[in-house]
Amino acid sequence: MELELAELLSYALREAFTPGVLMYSALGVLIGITVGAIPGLSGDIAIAILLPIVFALSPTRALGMLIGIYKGSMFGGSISAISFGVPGTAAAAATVEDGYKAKQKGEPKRALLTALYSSVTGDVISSLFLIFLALPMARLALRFGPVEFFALYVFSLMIIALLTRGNAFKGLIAAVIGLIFGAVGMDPVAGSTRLTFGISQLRGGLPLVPVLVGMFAISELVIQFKKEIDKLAAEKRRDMGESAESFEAYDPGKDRMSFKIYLSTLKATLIGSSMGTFIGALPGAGSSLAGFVSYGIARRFSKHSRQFGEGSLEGVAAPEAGNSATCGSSLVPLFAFGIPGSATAALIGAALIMQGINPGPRMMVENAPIMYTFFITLMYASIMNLGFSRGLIPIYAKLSMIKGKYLIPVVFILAILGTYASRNSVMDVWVLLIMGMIGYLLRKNGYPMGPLVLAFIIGPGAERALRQALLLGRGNPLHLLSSPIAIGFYVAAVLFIVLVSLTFKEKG
Amino acid sequence: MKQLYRYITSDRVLAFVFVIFGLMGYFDTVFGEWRAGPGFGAKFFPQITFLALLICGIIMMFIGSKEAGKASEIISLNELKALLILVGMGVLYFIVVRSLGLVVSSLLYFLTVFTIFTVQPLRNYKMILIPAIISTAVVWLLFTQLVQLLLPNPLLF
Repeated sequence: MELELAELLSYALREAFTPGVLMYSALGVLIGITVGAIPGLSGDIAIAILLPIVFALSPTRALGMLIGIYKGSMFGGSISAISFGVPGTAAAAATVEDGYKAKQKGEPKRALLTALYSSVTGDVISSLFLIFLALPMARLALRFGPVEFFALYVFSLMIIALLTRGNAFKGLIAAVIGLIFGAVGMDPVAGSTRLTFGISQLRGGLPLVPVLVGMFAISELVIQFKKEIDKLAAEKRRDMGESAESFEAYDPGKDRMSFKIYLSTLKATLIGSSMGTFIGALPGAGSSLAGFVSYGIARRFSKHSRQFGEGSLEGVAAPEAGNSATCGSSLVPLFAFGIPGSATAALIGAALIMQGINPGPRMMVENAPIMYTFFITLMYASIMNLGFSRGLIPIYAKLSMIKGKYLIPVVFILAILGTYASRNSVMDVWVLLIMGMIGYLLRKNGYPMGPLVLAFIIGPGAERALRQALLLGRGNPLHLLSSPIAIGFYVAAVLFIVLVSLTFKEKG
Repeated sequence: MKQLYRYITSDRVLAFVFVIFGLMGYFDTVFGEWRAGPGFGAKFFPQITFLALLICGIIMMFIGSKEAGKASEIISLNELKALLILVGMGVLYFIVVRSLGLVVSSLLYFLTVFTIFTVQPLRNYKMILIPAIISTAVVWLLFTQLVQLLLPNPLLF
C-alpha cells in the first residue's frame, strides 16, 4: 500500500510539474484574477464559458486551469472592492466595507496586500483540509447504500436551498426546477425516455454545458447588457475612472506592508479561514456568506472592534480569508459524495464529467493518479496566485476598468461558439439561449441560480438512489428510514430547517 | 378592482406560472402515457417534483401577499427589450457564422454592437474599429487554433 502511495505521489509530482500543466494552471490563475477584478464577471462565468474549451485538454491540464480560475477569482474580486468600492465578485462584497475605507484613508497597498495574504492563507488551509479529508470521507461514502445516499441528497438539497442569501423559499423552488430539468431524458433506472416532447436530441437529458453556461453566463450577460443600455454602468465606471486616477497618483512609498502587519491581522485571518473552510464544506453555502460570517465573527472577537467599518485591516483580512477558504472545502462534498458544495464546485464537477470522471467516492480510487496530481496543482496554484497578484495588482486595477460594452459582446460570442464547439450540436445553442432567458427571468425575480444548477446535477443521482432504495424495500417508504446514518441526515436536515426558521424569525 | 391589482405582485404572477406548470406536469404523470418500469416506474420522480413545484407555487402565492404593492410585472418592457436584443443578436450571429464564416461574421457582429454602444460613432471610429479587430482576432485564435471549431463549409472565412 505504501509503495503504491509512493508510486502515485511520484507520478503525480512528475505530471503536476510538466510544462503543460504548469502553463494551464498559471493561465487559469491569470484569467481568474482578471475576471474577478472586473465587476460583472466572475470565476463562475469564466469556468462556465471555458467548459467546452477545457474539454479539449487532458484532465490534469483542464483541472489545473479551472482551479487556477477559482483561486484567482477569489482574490481578484477584492481588487476592485478595495480600489473602487465595487466588489468584483459577490464573494468580495464583505471586503468593500473596510477595504475601500482603508484605501480612502491612504492605505490601499496595505489593504490590497492584507487581502492577498489572508486570501492565500485561507486558501492554503482550505486546500489542506480538502487533501486530508476527501479520501477518508470518500472511504466512508463507499459504505453508503441507496438509503444513505438518498438521505444525504435530501440533506444537501435542503441546505443548498435554505442557505441561499435572500428568500430561502425561492431557493427551494429553484432547487425543484433544477430537479425537473434533471429529470428530462432517460430514466436512470429503467432507461425509458420522458419529458422530451418528442425531441430526439433530448433523449440523453438536457445537455450539461448549455444549461450551466445559459444559467450562469447568459443570464448575467443580459443583466449587464441591460445596465449598459441604461447607461448606469457607464456612469458608475466614470466614477471608478476618477477613483482610479487617484489610485494612480498615489505614492506607494508611504504605505508599506510588513510581516508585523500580517501578524496583527493573523487572528482575523485564522477566524476567516476556519469559518470559510466550515461554510464551504456545507453544500450550497457559498463564498459570499463565508465572507460576511467571517467579518461578523472577526469583529466580535477583535480587540479593535470599533475600528471595523473605518478601514480596519482585520476587517479586510477576515472576509478575504473567509471567501478564499471555501475554495478547497467546497470540493470536499464533490470528491467524497459526488455532491457539489458550491456553484463553482458544480461547474468543476461538470468538467470532471466531461473528462469521463464521475465525481463521487469511487473517483478517488478509479482516478487516483489524476486526483493526486490535482492535489499538488491545488497547492502550487495558491503560490502562483500569490506571485501573480503581488506583482500585477496595479495592472489588474486598470483591467477592472474595461468597459462592459466591449466585454459583453465578446463573452456572449465565446459562450455561443464554445457551447456549439463542445458537441457540434445546433440544439445545444438553442438550449443555451432558452436557459439564458429562463435564468434571467428567475434571477430578475430573486430566484438564485446556485440551487437550481446543483439540483440539476444531483437530481439523477437522487432519483437513482430513491428508486433503488424503494426497490430494496419492496416499495415500503419506511425502508428509507432503515439506516441510522440516513436517520441522522434527516434529523440534521430538520434541525437545520428549524435553526434557519428561528434565525429568520429573530431577524424579522 | 384597484384592491385586486394591489395584490398582483411579480412574485405571485411567477408563482401562478409555477402552479400551472406543476399542475400540467402532475396531470401528465397521472394521466399521460408513461412506460412502466421496475418499482414505481419512470414517472415516479417527475411526479414528486411536479407536485413539489405545485405546492411551492401555491405557498408562494400566499407568501407574496406580504409584499403587496410591489411591481406586478415579472419583466419590464425595457428588460424584455434588452433580453430580446441580446438573444436575437445571438441567434442572428449563429445563423450567419455558419454560412459566412467565423472571421467575417464575428467582425460584422462586433462592428455592429460597438457602433450601437458608441456615442458619435463616426468621430470615435477608432474606438469601434480597434476593439472589433482585436475581439475578432481573439475569437479566431481561440476557436480555430485552440478548439478547432468545425463549421459547415462557410461561403467566406
